[in-house]
Amino acid sequence: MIVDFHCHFSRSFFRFREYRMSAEALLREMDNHGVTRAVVSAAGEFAAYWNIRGNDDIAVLAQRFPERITGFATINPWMRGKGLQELRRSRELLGLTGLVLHPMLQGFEANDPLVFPLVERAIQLGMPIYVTGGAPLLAVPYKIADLAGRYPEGRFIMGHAGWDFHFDVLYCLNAHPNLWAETSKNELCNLEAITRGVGIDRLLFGSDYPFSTYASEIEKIRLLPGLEAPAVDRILSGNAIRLLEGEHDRR
Amino acid sequence: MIVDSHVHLITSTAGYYAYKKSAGVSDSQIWDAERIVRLMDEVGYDRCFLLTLAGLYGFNDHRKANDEIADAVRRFPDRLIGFATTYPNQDPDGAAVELERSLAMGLRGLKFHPWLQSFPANSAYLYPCLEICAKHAIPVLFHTGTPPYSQPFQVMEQAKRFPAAPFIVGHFGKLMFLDAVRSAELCPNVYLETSGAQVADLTFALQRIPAKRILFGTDLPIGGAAAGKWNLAKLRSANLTHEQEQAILGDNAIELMAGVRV
Repeated sequence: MIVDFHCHFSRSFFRFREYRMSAEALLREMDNHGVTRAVVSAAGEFAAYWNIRGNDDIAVLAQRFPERITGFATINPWMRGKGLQELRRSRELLGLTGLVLHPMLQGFEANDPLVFPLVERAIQLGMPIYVTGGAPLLAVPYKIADLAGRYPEGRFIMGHAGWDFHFDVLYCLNAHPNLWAETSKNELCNLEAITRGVGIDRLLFGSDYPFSTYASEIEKIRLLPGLEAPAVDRILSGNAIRLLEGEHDRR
Repeated sequence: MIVDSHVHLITSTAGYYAYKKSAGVSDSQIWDAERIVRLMDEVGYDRCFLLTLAGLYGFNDHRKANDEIADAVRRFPDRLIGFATTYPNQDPDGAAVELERSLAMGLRGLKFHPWLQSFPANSAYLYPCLEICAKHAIPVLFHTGTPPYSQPFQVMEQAKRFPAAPFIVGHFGKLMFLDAVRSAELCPNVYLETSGAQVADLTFALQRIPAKRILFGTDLPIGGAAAGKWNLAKLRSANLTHEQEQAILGDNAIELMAGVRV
């Protein structure tokens, strides 16, 4: 069993226009690699500004494959009040169960007060908050950790495990028990450092599909040195299942 | 033929591993030439570009580091292709002398790590060394992706000034991969090295530049055999044609070294 905590679906993409995804292709990839469930959110322009359309697309996908797809909403905090409305619509009408923030595409710093109302609303609605990590200035681990520290009752996921800012990630994770790290894009040796310096309990496998491949992202987790099979399973699925189920406990 | 164009000889753990050690990572140790070659055997790599790690830190003697690379290459001439490093920010002309000395010892490439070595990659202090590289078509590999010192466009600036030397953008520009690809698109003597590249970055690049300009690299022995296997799996999951894969995995690096005239 594998749960992919971070991948994308949209009808077309902003930066990689050549990506024209289909639900069938995504499900086929998941099947080919034993991925039982995927947490899916919008990308490209649908994350940057066309959030309503992006969230609608995700909801259609999640409703079509409820056993396989968990939909997360993406909202640009610059929408301010309208963003709060869109979050409520996403949760209550569309059935999306988490929030994805993308400081680089959405143009804000992860710990800017601009994002607080949206974060507070997401916590009220019981939604985990995934913050794409790694963009210098905007989304470095310390900023994501600062946000998590401000809201200890929230559940935050540092996307890409902070990517190239691996020097800072161990402190951030150790300082904030409500902060998880997602594995896509990052180097194997940096993930190994997290398993040793923090542990495996808050590592979540993610693929970043279609920007990466299941083959390489899953292989990376299986190749992590020093882990027994149960630990690998925790990273590939167990931790994600607990986090996703915890959503219901909290409300 | 698999050639890894980014491998470090680790003769001292001072510096980089200060962090790794705090995390208890298993590879915080010495990697001499024998261990590097055994690692290459284990992961199935034929040859590699061998770069110093210790020599990139100012508190170590980079001349001694160049000696160590030369010694490693002498022991495994069929497996290791040696790269020198110099410290041009203290003495640009002295750095050129050290580069000449390194070439005489059999080294065939130049490595700069602008972040660790404390200069912007487009610094004029590099010119004396780069003139030598242009004269002999010596490849120059830059660490990139950590602004403000190590930006792909800074490397491109040097590549435009020295069109006879091949410039390798290390780590595919990391988070600055768009700039890395654009540099290669704009400048025919810019090559991209794949460690740090995402699969989608490779696909994106291959729509814009020929496979000839991409070199397989890993940053081994950091991450050990697991990282070596994973980097290969990553490349092979990218849906490359057979020709592209052959070129990127090894042929391009061999061709680049065949162009060196010393």
